[in-house]
Amino acid sequence: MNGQLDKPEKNDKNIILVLGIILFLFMLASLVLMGDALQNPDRFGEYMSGLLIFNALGLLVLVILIFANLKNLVVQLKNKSPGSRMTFKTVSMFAILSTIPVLILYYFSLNFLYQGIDSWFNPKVEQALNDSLELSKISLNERMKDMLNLTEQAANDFSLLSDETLLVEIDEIRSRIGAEELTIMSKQGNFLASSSSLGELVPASPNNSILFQVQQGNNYVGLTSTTQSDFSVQTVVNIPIISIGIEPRIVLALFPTTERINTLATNIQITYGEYQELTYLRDQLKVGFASILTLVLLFSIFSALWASFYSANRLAAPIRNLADGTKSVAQGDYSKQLPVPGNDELGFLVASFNDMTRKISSARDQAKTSQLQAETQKVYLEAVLGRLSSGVLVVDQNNTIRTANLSSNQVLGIDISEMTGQSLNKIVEDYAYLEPLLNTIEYHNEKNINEWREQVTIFGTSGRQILMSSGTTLYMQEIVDSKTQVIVFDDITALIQGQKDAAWSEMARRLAHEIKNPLTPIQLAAERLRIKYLKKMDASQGEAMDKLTNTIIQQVETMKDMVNTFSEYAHTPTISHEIINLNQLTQEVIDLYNTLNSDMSVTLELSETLPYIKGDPNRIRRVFNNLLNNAFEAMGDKKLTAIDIKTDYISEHGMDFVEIRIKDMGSGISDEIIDNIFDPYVTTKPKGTGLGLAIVKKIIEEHGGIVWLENNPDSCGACAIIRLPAVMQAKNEELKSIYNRQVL
Amino acid sequence: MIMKTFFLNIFIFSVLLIAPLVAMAQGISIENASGRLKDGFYQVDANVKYDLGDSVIEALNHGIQLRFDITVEVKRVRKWRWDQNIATAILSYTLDYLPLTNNYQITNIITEEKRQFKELPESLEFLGNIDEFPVINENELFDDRSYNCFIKSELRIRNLPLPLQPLALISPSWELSSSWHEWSIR
Repeated sequence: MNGQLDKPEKNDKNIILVLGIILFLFMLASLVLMGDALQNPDRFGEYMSGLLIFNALGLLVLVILIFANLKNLVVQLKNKSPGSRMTFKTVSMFAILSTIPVLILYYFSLNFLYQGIDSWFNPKVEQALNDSLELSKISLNERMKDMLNLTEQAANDFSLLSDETLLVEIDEIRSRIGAEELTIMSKQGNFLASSSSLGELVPASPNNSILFQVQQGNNYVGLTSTTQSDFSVQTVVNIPIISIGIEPRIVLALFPTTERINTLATNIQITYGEYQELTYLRDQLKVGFASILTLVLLFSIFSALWASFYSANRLAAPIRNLADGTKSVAQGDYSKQLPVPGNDELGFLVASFNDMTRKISSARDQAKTSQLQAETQKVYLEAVLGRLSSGVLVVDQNNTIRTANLSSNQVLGIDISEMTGQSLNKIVEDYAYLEPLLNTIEYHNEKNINEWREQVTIFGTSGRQILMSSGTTLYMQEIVDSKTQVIVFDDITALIQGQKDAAWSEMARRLAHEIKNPLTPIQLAAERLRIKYLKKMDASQGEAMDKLTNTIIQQVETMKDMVNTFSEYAHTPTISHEIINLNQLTQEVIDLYNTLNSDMSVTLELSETLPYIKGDPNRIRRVFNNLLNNAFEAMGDKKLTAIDIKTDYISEHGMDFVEIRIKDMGSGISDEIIDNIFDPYVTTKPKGTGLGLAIVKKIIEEHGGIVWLENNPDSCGACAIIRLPAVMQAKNEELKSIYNRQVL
Repeated sequence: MIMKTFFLNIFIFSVLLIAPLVAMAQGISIENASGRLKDGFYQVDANVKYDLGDSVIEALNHGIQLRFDITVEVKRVRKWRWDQNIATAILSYTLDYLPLTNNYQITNIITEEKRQFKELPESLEFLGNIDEFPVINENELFDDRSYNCFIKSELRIRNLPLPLQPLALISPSWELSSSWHEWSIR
């Protein structure tokens, strides 16, 4: 994702803008046309309805657009979308700024319009026109009355005439009364006679309504228009019936008005009509102009509102994008790139943001790479350190452990690699036997000794350990005034012991060889002395000789035994590897001892879940023999000799082994020799060769085990502890059936 | 006042927009029409009923001149195409109120013949009677073809005073026009 605005969305916005502008232009054009149509209906009058509908629809579209925008804005405000408040403020500001001036303009325009139209009409003028019309009517009425009288007189004259004489007299009578046209008709509308000064062949006939009125016996007088005059007086009068048998007749007369009266009356009528028309159209004018003005107002306001929405959205878009971008950055997405809106300040801001995210992204990638490299190096170092047989500790200047490899766990017998971050003092509190080593480290750390090497002895879970430790100080360049000390230590106990054992073995072998060779000639010489000279000597000398030679022979035998023992110690026989049930073996050994010496009391506490071991049963028996002999001899002439033997299954540091504890009630071992008790020629017994425990240790070590002696903490005597590697789990049932806790 | 006018205008616009959809009570209708060949012409006789409505009568009484056009068209019937218009004749009258005489005056635009009536219905009745109005020369009608004749009468809005025209264009009360009345010539 590159965070750019989708192209279709941008295109949509452009399409909306173009459509909006087109709509705006069309509406503007239609408003112009409407205004023109109002001024000059001949040009666009017939399109007025269409223009009006188009404008109304345009306004509707604008309203829909505005409502859609408004709805979006409300939703954005509710969701507290970035930029929504800014859009709201901008739109509000735009709306107020655009609406208020337009409304003010509308108000004054409408006022001026109304006042302008109203000013066309003056009540006095209207009154004068009404009066003049009334005056004209009165004047004409007077004239019409005269005309009616003249026509009535003519009717009286015609009443004396028969239909035949009418044709003769009618011209004379018309001329006398001054009529333009005189017509005699029957009441049914049949023409009887007619005279005209206009030369009309067909006389004017009265309307049906006039005819009907006259037929009812009422005379008629009124104004009518002719081709010559707009105001001619038309009279229709019944001709009196003076004799029975004459058909009822009517006379129609058409009197002209003077040119002056005709012109004046026409002018008054036209002017009055126009004024009436204007008065009637006053409201229409107001509505018409106000409608156009209102359309323009609505168009302006809606266009401004829509434009304000559009502008606000465009203004807010970069802000919204920036907010989205910062949110993405806050969530760790540095790949966000925002569209740059332009070359203005916002564009600069957005470009800076894009630059910033690019740089952060690059820096993060570099940091990741560095971290990866560091982790790889760390793994590599850990692998190297883990494969080292030497223990490695890294301690900072505050004596806190920073790093410890796996070998350090094995060497020290604790999970010191899990104690990183702990101080050396704290570890000493928990594991007191580590005190010599940790004190040495602390000492060198505090004394700022950069390079040191020292042999340290600790008494751990696996007995006495000699550690060859060396330390060096590393100064961390990244951290000012910070230094760490790297300590490498090796358990050289086995090495030293091996060297010591080898030396002893060599010495024993040489001793045996050097001593054993002269012993046989000595023994033979003593026996020859005895055989050759004993018989020749007197009793007293013979007795002395016998005693001396016996002593020599006995001591030579003793020395031979000693030499054999030495040979055995020096000799490394081939060990058979058999699966041994140590409980069973212990039981057998104890049974033998029990048979030989009934005074002793051996308490057996055999573990029911003791695993098997792999080894040579005869040599393990030798171990038991030596240890039991030692135990019995340590208790000396005590009447009751009690030995506790306990077997157990121990699992420590992922190692499974079998532990045998042989505990006596003797005098214990003095502190002076307890460290060297397993060395050859170290013994507390006056007659001991000093090789018993050395052989025990040798056999146990040949089996991959460990043995040590410790004084009983809660009672007198000492305890020999042997640990041998377990190879398989014994069956519980079998062990239960054979070995139960018993007191012998 | 201004706001009132503003909302009133909006209301008027709304009403005017939907008003044409509402059925109209007043109007012009052709009651009957027929034609015949006479004196070498196809002449039309028709009865047109004019019901002007209060608004139009009020305008008339206030001096507004009304012009009515009675249009007669003759179309040749064609089978597969639009019918062909072969003749159009328009009979135009103006109707005025004369305040001085209180008469209604009908003027034939072409002949300038004027007739005055005391009452409006009387003048409208006169206006509605069309007698022997020649539409097309007999020679232009062929026996082997079919022709239809159409007649309609309408108030000509464009001849109304300028300020009245917008309202007349959109107001149904001024929408005075009959539908086409059709009959076959042969």
